[in-house]
Amino acid sequence: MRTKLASFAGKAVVVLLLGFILLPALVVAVVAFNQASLISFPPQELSLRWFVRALTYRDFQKGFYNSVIVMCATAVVSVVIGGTFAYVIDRYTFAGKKLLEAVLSSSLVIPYFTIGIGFLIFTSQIGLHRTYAVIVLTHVVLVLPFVLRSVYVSLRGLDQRLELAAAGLGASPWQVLVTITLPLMTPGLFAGVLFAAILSFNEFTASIFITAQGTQTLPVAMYNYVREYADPSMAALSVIFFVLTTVLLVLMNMSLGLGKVLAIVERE
Amino acid sequence: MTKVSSTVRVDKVVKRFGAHTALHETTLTIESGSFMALLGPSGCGKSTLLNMIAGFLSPTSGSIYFDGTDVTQVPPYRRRVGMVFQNYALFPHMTVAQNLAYGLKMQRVARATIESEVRRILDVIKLARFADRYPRQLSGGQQQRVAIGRAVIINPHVLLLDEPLSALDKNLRANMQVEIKDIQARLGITTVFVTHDQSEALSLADRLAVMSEGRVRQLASPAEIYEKPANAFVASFLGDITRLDAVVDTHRGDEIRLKTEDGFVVVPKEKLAGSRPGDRCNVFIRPEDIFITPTVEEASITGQVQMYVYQGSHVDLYVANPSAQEGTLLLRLSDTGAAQKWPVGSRIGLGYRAGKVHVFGEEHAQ
Repeated sequence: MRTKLASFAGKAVVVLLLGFILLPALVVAVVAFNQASLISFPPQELSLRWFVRALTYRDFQKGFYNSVIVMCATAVVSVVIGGTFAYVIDRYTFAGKKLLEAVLSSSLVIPYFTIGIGFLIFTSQIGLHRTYAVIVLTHVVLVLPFVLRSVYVSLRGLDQRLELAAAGLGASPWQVLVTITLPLMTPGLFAGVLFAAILSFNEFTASIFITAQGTQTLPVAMYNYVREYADPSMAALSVIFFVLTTVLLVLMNMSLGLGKVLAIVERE
Repeated sequence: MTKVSSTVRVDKVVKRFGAHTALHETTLTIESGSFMALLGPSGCGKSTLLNMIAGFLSPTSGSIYFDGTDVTQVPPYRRRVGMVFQNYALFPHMTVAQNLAYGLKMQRVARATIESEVRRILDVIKLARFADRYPRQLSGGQQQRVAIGRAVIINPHVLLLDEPLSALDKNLRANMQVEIKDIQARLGITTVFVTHDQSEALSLADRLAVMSEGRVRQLASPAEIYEKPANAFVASFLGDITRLDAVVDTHRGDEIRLKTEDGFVVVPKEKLAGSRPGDRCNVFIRPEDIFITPTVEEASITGQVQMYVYQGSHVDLYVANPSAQEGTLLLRLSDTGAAQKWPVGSRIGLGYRAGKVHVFGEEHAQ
């Protein structure tokens, strides 16, 4: 009887915690269905008009398009750079290695605000300040520590004797990389891509500075909207955001098993 | 696709890591098709030597030849050596068949040939039903066999095994030893086997190199190493043995009398040629070459019975004696009733087969 009570209490705590975390999202979701043009809770009448507005509003469409471009570019660039650095850091010793690691992870300790302004000033000097390039560049700097970490962890778990065995069997260094190292690095690389994509898509603080009218990403577009209008289209957009991400993660879990991909669960 | 396997010659090879010499100058030859074991404790240089034959380490000086061709500068992926690691190192993201096929794929062998070779090797290692399984679905012994199969399928110049059986339990080990020997003999591949387990080395090798501290102490057949150890290290490393500290007393005709702390040992003079009275030496006797004398008085060595350890087929008897290493002599008796005749604590006389005794001067130690 005592055990049952304890486990019930444990479960209750977990449920309450999760509920606390999800509560803002739930409130927003409910608000999105409000008929009225005010953000009010609880809503008086229900309607889907704000979803329609969210999906058809030109700035949101452009914002989504920009965010996707930036996200894809960021994911690819950061995984290539982060993956390569992770490999070098894992396999080689050289002078200044610690310094390198610190510099690569420095965006963790510098406020994104500062990074944003910094890149804005820098790219203005060279005329790149209204392009996608500056946004991708900034996002890569921001997500790099996470990508680096996740690839590095997966590399550490890679038994180097596998590579020696492959070499002994006749695989050239390039063949070892392609047939052994990279395939076994995929969990880390994939997790890195995921991190990079999600962080980039949601990125706001630095993006505010480096995006221009034509290149503004979705979070920036939403911010600009909210400064002028106080209607629930924001809420509707958030719900779409939320649902899309969830669907994506569910699909990934079904096809790849997110637990294994993120190296949380042991590969059986 | 069968080919005569290579003769491997290690010529004056030295390996230094900074100030530390892992392998002192070593020269040896492994004949084509033969099975050589490198035996020794941790740090003796056996794995270093193996890795240099494989090409994973470069010698600091010296050369390595496969069939007369100098391969010292050749990178491992061009040497065609089959290496079996202690943890098997099977590719976890490939099936058994894919693991086996890997080496041939890297050599760009035709697909049809690869398939038939894989099937052939699967039969040799008796895992035909497991072709499409993944390594994690196999037991330790099965993974071992896949590792060996993967190494031999490429027709290597030499098969290298780095303590491949140490992860297995005793019964499985014994079975795998037989299997390895069988595969090796059938395929006739030159093999170098590294181990710290001397019974394994004795049972598998055609020739055995006993190593310690970066040097080969003796290179000979297992029988010769066991029966005619060249020095104190080899004598004590292989098998159980008793060591007695002694001093040369007198030469008497064909024999030398060696004085121990409380007795003496008489051995043929060839055992310690060139010795003079007063030289310190060590006497080594195998437990099966010591016996209990009918009476205590007639014995030149005596001791007090300490402990009997029943071993099933025989009994190990530990006898206290001040000249012995750690104060204890070891006898192996087939008479399992010995404990009743000579109970613990009783004083017994010990005899020995003088012809089987090994004596080394104390300078020879290490």
